[in-house]
Amino acid sequence: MGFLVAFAACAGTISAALAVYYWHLGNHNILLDTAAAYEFVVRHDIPRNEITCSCLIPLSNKGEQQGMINNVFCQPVYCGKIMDELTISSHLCLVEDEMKDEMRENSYWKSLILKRNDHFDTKLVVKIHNSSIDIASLVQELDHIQMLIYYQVVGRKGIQWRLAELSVPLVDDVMVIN
Amino acid sequence: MAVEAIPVKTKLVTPDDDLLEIIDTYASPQLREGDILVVAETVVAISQGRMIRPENIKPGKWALFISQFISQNGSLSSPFALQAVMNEEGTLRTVLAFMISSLSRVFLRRQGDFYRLAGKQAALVDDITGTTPPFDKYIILGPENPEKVVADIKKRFRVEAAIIDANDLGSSEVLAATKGVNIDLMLRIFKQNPAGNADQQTPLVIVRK
Repeated sequence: MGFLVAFAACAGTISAALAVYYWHLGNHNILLDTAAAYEFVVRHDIPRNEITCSCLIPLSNKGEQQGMINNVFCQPVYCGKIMDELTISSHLCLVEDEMKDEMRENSYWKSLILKRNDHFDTKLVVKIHNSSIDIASLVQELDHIQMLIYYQVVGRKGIQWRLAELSVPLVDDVMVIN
Repeated sequence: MAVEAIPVKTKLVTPDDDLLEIIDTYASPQLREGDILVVAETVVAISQGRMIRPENIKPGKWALFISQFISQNGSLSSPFALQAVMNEEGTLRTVLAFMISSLSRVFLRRQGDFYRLAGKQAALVDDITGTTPPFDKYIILGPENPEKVVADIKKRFRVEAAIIDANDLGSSEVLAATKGVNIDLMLRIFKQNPAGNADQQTPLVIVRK
């Protein structure tokens, strides 16, 4: 009987210690903070009938653990019938990759580790091309486009898909090429 | 004695490639008698299709539990990579390795026993982000039967051969080598990782004396 009590006490202590350890370990907290997006740039290329919009979005890990972003996909929200006339392409990349001239225009996201307290800037680029409507008429009807960014986070406690949403202006601070 | 390490650029090696054909195309024209041909461990594994996406692995309770105790710098801190190793080496072996290494760490202050006891795959596995694109999305396991790979290279190209796991952090390990390879010399040369670990795409290195 004494042995059983001692065994139960040991098992209980070890379980409690492990539970405390696990709770203390925490998780990553990776966030693509679209609410803090900045440096919005809109460029109208009239001869090519193309609008290019870009902005910087902070990406950080404020959790206790490291995590990885393995995949990223961007997608525009349907904005009415006018969208049928448009070709929209978008990609997200790391600003430091762009500085190293390693930015991939083809939407490939290179898997990234975010250690605890890491902070990166990412750049979202959206290109809108239309063949039938001129840019002035287009922006009159559509002054911004809503983008959804899905990012896959892999950490010690599993895989999660997260969603970030961002409204990208098509008219503000316009740089025009004639 | 001066030793030269010549990195050989190749195309992107994929599971559809035959490693011997890759060597034949890219390294063979440069090979001379007395050379040693060194192949990067990851490329051997990729050519053997030893890769798996984390989405296709379901970590079990033991993988979820043990991975919490492994340093975040190691690939096995990911329950997905650890489960991939368990699938190769066996759950029982991994659990025993974890228990014994925990005790030896606490009572003998020894480090690294888990990797020594859990089997070769524990030390060789690369978690996602550990390899150049497009394989950065995959967990890459260690190669299968590396001894046969080096023997096949020697038979076909008539040079000594080795498979090395090297990284930019200054540590390297010879996985397999033919009899004429001086292991200490290889470790000295590959301490500087002449093949590179980033986007260099030079998985073959010719060592010439």
